[in-house]
Order: sequence, then structure tokens, then C-alpha cells
Amino acid sequence: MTQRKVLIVDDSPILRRAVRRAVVQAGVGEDAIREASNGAEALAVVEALDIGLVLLDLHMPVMDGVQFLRELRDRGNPRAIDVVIVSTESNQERLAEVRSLGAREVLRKPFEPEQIRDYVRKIAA
Amino acid sequence: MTNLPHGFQEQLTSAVSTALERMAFMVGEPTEEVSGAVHHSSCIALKVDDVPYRVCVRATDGALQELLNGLIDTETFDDAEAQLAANELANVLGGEVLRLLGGDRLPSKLGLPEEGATTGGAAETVRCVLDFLGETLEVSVGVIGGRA
Repeated sequence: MTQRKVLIVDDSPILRRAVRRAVVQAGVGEDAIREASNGAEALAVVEALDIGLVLLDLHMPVMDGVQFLRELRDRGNPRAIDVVIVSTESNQERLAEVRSLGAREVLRKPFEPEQIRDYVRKIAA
Repeated sequence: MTNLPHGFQEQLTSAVSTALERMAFMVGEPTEEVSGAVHHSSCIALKVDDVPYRVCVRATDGALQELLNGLIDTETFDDAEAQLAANELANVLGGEVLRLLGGDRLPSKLGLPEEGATTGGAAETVRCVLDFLGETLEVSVGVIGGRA
């Protein structure tokens, strides 16, 4: 069976590398990981590839994570992609909003790499 | 009238220490001044309950190297990567400061990191400096204007 891909969406290349490292440690192959630096790029990737999990920052230029979630919902999320928020966001109202838009889990920065590994394993299981 | 809560300096030091330990396994000791040349800094604007703040990070190259090493397991880095590390630290610490100021339950907004900005001109500033075996990192929080 082909492994569904993991998409890391964050405007910081350093954070994308840190998250990628943890995802690889969770057992996902390097070739099954894609990256995007904002919501608009991420939408293009999920349209084109079989993405199973999106690890999504919220505060990004061009298109932020909330807009991405709205777009994904409005398109019906036909591939049933799981979305985990990885963000500095702590505002309870906005976190409730992203959950209502379909985010499955919220992981607040600063995170420990083990937390990313645990989320990826849990969702991939 | 102050816009920073009582005991904020201690809360800031604790939040910065915890964040660095979680992000990059960095354990530092509070100190008074930044020692060594600083080539990279980054600031992020935030607003809690309509009061604007700015959080700024200044760090020596060695402190940023330690951060990058913990984050992405690299021993070597260039200027661009050091600046990205400073930006990411400002982003994470901006989120922590926002939470300390009640932004988790009050209307709040966090901006995006900007290279080289400062808290200069702030009406009120609180800072903390941490030492990592001779490499140092300063975090300052400025109230920009604020409620009278």
C-alpha cells in the first residue's frame, strides 16, 4: 500500500526542518513529506497529491492557516485529510474556530519533538 | 498606570527558559547583560485587549547556533539561517508573552517577526537575559503606547 503523504505548512524554513525531522523520526519516509510556506501553496499541494496529514501553522503571510482550513472545508475535504495545528496560537476563541473548521488536534509552540512524533503516529495508526 | 502585570519580569524569565528548553534543550541561567557581539535580532508586534506590545530578541551567534543545533541538529549555519532562528524565537516568545498578558482569553493578535526592529521608544520595557555557558540571549517586552 502506498503511504499517504504528510504536508508541513509553516512560513519558517527552520520550523519546517524541525517538524520534518520529527515526522521522519515517527517513521514517515522522506519521500512522503512535502512542505509549503503558506496556505495558498498548501492548497495547491493538497489538490495535486494524496496528502493524509497536514501539520499547519496559523500565522503566515499570503494565506494564513484559518483561511486554508476554510478553503479546505468549502471544497469538501474530499480526501478526508487530517489537520493538526502547530502554532503559537493560544486564544481560546480562535482555537475553537479552527476546531470547528475541522482541525483534529492543536499542538502549541514551543513543542517538543516527541509531541510531533506522537501525533503523527497516533493519526497514522 | 502600568500595562504589565505585577511579577511580569519573573514570569517572562520563566517562560523564556521553558520555551528554549522545550524547543532546543537549551538550559540557561539568568544574567544581567548580553556579553559578546550581537549580529541578529528580531521583533514581533502583538496586541492584547487593544494594548500594543513588541517582543524583541537579541542573541549572540553562539546562542543562535545552540538554538539551531537543538531545532534541526546542525553544527554549521550561515547568516540567513541565524536570522531565521532569531525570527522563529521571536515568533514563539511573542506567543508566550501574549498568553502571559491574557491573550488566551482576551481579544488578541500576534503579528509576524521582523528583522532588526527594537523596543526603542516603548513607554515601558521589561527584559530578561539568559546565559548559556558564555553565550547570551536577551528578550525584551515593550508597551507601545498603552492605556493611560
